[in-house]
Amino acid sequence: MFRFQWWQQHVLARKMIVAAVLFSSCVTLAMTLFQLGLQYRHHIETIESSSTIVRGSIQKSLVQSIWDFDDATTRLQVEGVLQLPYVRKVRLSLSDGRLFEYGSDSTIQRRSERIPLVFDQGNDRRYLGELFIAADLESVYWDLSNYAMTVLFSNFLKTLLVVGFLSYVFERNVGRHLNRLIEHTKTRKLAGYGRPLHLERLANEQIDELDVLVDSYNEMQQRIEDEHDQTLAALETRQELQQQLEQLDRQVMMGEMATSLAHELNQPLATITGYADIGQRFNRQGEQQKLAEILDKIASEGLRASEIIVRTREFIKSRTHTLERIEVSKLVAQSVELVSHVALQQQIDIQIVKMVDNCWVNGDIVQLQQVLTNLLRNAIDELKDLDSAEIWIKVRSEDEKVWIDVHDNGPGIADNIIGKIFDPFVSTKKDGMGVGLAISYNLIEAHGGALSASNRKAGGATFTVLLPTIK
Amino acid sequence: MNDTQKAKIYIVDDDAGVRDMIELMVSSVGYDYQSFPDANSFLNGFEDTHGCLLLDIRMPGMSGMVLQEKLNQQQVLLPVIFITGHGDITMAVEAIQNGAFDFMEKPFREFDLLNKIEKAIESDLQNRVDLEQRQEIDKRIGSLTKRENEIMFLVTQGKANKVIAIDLNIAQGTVEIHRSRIMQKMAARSLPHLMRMLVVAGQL
Repeated sequence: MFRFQWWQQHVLARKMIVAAVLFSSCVTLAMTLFQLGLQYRHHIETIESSSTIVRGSIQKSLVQSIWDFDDATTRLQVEGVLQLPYVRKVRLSLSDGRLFEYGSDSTIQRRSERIPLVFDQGNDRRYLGELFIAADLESVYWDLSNYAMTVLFSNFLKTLLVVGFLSYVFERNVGRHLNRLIEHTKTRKLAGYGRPLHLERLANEQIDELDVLVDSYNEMQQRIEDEHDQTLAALETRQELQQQLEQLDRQVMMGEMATSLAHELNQPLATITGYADIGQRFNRQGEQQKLAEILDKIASEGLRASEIIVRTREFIKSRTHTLERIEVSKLVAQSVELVSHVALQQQIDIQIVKMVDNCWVNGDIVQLQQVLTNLLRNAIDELKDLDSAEIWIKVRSEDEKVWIDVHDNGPGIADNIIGKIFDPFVSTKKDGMGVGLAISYNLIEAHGGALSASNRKAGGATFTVLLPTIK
Repeated sequence: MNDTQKAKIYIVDDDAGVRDMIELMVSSVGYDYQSFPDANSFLNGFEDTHGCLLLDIRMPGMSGMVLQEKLNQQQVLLPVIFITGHGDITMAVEAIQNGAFDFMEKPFREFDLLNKIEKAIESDLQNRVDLEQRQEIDKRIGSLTKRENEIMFLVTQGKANKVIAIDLNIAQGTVEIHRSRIMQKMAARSLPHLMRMLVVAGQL
């Protein structure tokens, strides 16, 4: 089972083995066939040389011994012929009817030859008989097949050994490293940046392809990480710019709104001032009726001014509210997450030390996040240069209200500012606009909550967001 | 134009409250007035007669500045007092450079506005009288013959009839006749009167 698995998994090794076996078999087969051909020719030549021997030497002496009626010698000679290679049957049939026969006759594959025995002495030529020799080709084939079997078997063994050894070498030098590489590539993640690829190999002075592969792989990894870092940095910069832009946008919007509000309010103010002056004149002239009319007009202009303010507030409210159900713990966690990279840079620890589960508020998640991240960013800015800086958040809930406290162990809020810290354009920061807390205050108020600030007795500041909860 | 013609105050402001208040202000001290809620209706409805224009600088549609430009193009004499809000000082300065009579910043006191209106009306009257006089003198000069015109300028140079006669190679009696016709056509009581008229007409 394990072997089979190995066979299935190691496709590369499998391919190599199959190729090696196929190629080796083909070569062996071709070589064997070639050698068999050579052998066959050699055997046939041997058989032919036997007949040559018979014709050349034995024929004459056989004729002599037959002529002399030396049967013993004749027999011996015929038997001698039988001893020649592959000769299986020898038959000497004499013209006087005698027959000397040796060897078996069973073979089918044979090569036979009839040699006439003629006594020739001077002019006396006499036909004595015929020598029949049959060579057995079957034994030739047998030999050949034996030979082929031996060669094939030995080659099979050799191939098996070589392939086995090769696969071992391949597995040891390439296969396991490939698997390690696969494993490494599969488990590799960009986040956290894993260790570089290292193959466990014997110390080798000579740098080979695998070393080059490992090096180039690690270099590639490094490049990817670098580019990833750059992309992240670019993304962060873009996000920051985006935030700044949004901030600027809000400021511009606030500025425009302030200008427009000032312009609109100026109209009733101008009217009231004008009417008051006219009223003065009527008063001096004793025009009581006209004066009363003027006073009415002044009152209605005052109401008009108030209406403008109400309208503006409603406008601000209407354009900023998209209500949804928000889970407080999620809101807090997300807000912390949003500033975590800044906190990390400043090595400031932000901890959520107390949390209420399953507490819901109705509100605009973006705005509420904006408020919390604003508070956290302020705290981070305050703690910037302090050792062991800490920010911790406590959430408590009671009577359909939830309090989110953001504590820090910074210098706290100066006494001359604490009363007006939520006023617009009041800032403790060198380059601060003083709009962050003012906006936050308005946003929380628009949510039906309250934002407050205090100094802790132990030092540091606490900002508390109070929001009404829903079920 | 006669001096008895009453000055008329034009009020152009998009804010009905402000319009109403200014109307009351000017009417209660006896001015004629006519108000418009925007620049276009004013352009279609005003007459360039004695008076002044109280013009809001910020209005939807055509702004006060654009309206002033159009009035300048039409060579309207009406003096313009701009009414501006806070922070419109740069616009006000520009308006003054473009020939506005004055500007008022909202909110303003009645006394200041009436003061400025009075000054503007005085200035307008002066402008219109000057214009009328100039037009009249131009008309009289136009009624002179070419020879009379020639002799009038020689006379204003202080030349005696005799000298003029020699210069023009005519009889001294002829010069005298021309001279008396000149004084008659120009309705001049004396030589200094004639010279003053020519100064007013910009001929001297």
